[in-house]
Amino acid sequence: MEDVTALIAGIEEKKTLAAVSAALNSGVEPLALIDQLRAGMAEVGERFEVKDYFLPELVMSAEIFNEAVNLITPHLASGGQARGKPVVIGTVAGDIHDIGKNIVSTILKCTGYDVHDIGVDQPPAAFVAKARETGAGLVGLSGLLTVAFDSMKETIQAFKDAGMRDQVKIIVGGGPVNDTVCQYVCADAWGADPTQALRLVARYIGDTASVESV
Amino acid sequence: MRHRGAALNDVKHTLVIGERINPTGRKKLAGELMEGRLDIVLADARRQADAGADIIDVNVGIPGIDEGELLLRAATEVSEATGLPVCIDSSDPLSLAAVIPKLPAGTLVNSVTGDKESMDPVLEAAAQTGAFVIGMAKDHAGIPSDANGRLEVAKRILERAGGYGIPPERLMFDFLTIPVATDPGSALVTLECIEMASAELGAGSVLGVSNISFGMPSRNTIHASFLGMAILSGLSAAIVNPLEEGIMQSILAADVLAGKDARGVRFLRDYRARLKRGAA
Repeated sequence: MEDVTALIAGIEEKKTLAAVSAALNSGVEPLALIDQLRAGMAEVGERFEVKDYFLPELVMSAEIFNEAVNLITPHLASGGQARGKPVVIGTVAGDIHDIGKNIVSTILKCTGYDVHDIGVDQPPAAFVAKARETGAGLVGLSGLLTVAFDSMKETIQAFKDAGMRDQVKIIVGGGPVNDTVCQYVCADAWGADPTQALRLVARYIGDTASVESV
Repeated sequence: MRHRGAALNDVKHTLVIGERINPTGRKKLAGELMEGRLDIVLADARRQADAGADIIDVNVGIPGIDEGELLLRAATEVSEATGLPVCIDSSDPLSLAAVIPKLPAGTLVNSVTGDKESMDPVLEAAAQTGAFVIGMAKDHAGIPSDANGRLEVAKRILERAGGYGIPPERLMFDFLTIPVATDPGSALVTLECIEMASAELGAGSVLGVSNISFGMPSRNTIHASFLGMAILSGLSAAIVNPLEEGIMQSILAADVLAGKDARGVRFLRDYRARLKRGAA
């Protein structure tokens, strides 16, 4: 049987899915398969960081992961839909840039988090309301324009005002975001690319719960 | 101020708008602008002019400065130093509107969006001076994903401009580009829009190429190919860094192939100039 980890790490869409199907038919433990896929995704992330892989390959690997998980989900013990830990993400008020936000959103979704992407130009109250509704432990704020920094600051202040700042980790990202911006807006951390975002999310709220059926 | 370049709509070749003067991501330039100095600005302007730029884009947008005052000074000095028209570039419509009346008729204005707050002050000012205006095919709702959606925004700007007495020939549309790394059809949408701009709107088009290659390696080769395709589609002006390796030759070569430089006069002139500098 072909190695699922190596196949997804090689961005082999058809072969990965065929290998996953074959493994499921021959009785391989579904959770073990998800672990193998995740190991492959980790390798893709590492190769992306050293500029061996590039953005289209990162996106493609996430899509393969997603398709593979769809094949595996019906085989999970309870047969229920796998659902990960909730995360809220969006572009802050005054800014409509969404390419980076969409990539992070896709990668998190495909890695198994329950991503609530609230869209662009979203006021502080929208982030607070969605975090409260979903019980998300992590909120991601995105923005590219300078004006977005003040919106990020206001959004984080809104979490304080709502008495929720202790319950959520807030990370920021977007083209010009750096250490200075992170401190200015009072965020917990910032990330420069999708793999850093993924690592921060895993650090703050733990690995995805995608393998637990609900 | 006199320009050695022809009026913008008299030229057949693809115009090159030099994009270097922009403080975003350039700390040194930003620092100098904060102090009100223009040394780097003028040096960049001259280098771009020497490399073959037809128009120099001037963007001095930094948070916390009086953008209008600095923009006017930078634009005036750049034009005097190079003899070229400038393209004043700001996301603040009021700064643009304040500066337009103080610059000559051939000035290009970058840009308006499809939103009233952006269009009205800029178009009103441009109508009185004969400035050319770049319209961006987006509005508060974002960038429409397909060509028809972007054309709709362009038509809205065209109609609004017409209301102020600005004819389509004095408009150029920037149809924007989503990185092809995240959207495999993105270049095709932009190219389709460029074709329709001249065919259906009777207006010009501009294209900034750097966004297309975001997230990809070997970006220069992607820019060169994209420019070739856009020039064949009828592009009027490319917003590029003329100092980027190979970019000017790509544009000049595409102009020869697309019939925009009969007998390669410009291409060959550039070749000889490079040879003389030992760079051919």
